[in-house]
Amino acid sequence: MTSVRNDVGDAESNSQSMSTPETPSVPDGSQWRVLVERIQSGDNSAMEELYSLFSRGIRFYLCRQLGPQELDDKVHDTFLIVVQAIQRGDLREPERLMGFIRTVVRRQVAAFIDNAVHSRREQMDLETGVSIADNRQNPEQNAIIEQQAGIMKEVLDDISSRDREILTRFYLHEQPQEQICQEMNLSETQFRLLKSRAKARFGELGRKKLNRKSLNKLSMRNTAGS
Amino acid sequence: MGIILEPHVSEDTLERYAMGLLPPPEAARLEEHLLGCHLCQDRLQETDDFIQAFRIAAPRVAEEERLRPQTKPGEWLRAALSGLFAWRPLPVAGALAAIALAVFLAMPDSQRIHPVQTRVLDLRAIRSDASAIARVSDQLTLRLDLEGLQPESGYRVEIAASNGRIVWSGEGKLEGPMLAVSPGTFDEPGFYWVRIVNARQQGSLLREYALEIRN
Repeated sequence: MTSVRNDVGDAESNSQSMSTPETPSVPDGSQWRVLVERIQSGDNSAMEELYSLFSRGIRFYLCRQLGPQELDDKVHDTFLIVVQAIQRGDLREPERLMGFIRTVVRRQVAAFIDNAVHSRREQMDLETGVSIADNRQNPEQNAIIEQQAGIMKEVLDDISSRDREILTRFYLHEQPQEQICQEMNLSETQFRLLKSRAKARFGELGRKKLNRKSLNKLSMRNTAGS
Repeated sequence: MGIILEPHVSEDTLERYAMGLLPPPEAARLEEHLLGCHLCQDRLQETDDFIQAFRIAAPRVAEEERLRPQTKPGEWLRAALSGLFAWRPLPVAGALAAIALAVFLAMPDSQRIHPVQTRVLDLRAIRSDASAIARVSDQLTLRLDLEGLQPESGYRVEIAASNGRIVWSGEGKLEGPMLAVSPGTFDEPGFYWVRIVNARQQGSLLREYALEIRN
């Protein structure tokens, strides 16, 4: 199994142990080129390969930015644009395939948002102040969010008010780590430890209490395997 | 199926990305990695869940702590009443309680006293197509997600009530990929539209978020 070194942020040194057996090897730059050429020549198996490599990632990004509504259609549209662009020869550096796909996906997100804003505005212009679209989250999403908030409350109830303040400063008020450590007289290690303990406790309670995964994961899994 | 992309993203980087604090070049590299790495997708989802749950639960815990009485419930009231109403305390106290309740119920909701609470709300790019929710008593700071917008030299933020009336407008402060504004408290509950407009091009609309204010 080959792997690609891809310098992302400050990397974890033990990352190799996290690879899973079902994860396929990634093509290197020259293999991206071959894949792109096969797509350009209309090879259906190359398109399937591209889809299997990136559909979950595209789905994840779109779902995170736009929510789970009509996700299948959005993934399909995006994939189609990527393939058509490759076939037209818009991708000039095949070894930058991942960057190219990211750009297409981001443009799609911006386009979906603009469409939503304009259609809502048109609706507002027609019936100003009369009707407001009900765009709240659906009951299932609300239930999941409330369950998770309940678990988090248990985690927070179990820790000291000082530890709560540290986490609140970081996650709620987004104060920089350095400032928090200085003002709360903490070392960087203590700060990291507190965060990782809180996360571990949250995950542990979550696994015990939540019988089902979040809606996002569910909707991702449904079509990721198809 | 997925791809092995090593090294994986560190916990700190994932957190900063989830909180919108990662500089654009780093965010771009991370997003490319995420496109192919299932493991980091799952880790980011867990980080998102953690932060979202924290941002809901932490203010609740703080509020509960603030409201928690220092003495046993009702102890101080009982002590005060026993001195004042040494004779027939029950009927008098009952009558007072009934009067207080009647006054409270007759009062319009907008005049009831709510504890003011500072609150930071992130309005993501119509994520989940859901409106953010705050209370009339919240001293609000809104952080608007600029994801997907072309960089502009001047953003202006307007908040419109559901009847179209602009109730607040002002300049935002850039905080990484977010635009922060502090409109303070809202007088009326209801639905509002928070709009980012181009300050230069005659206020052309760039983005709009839903905000619900509740009592």
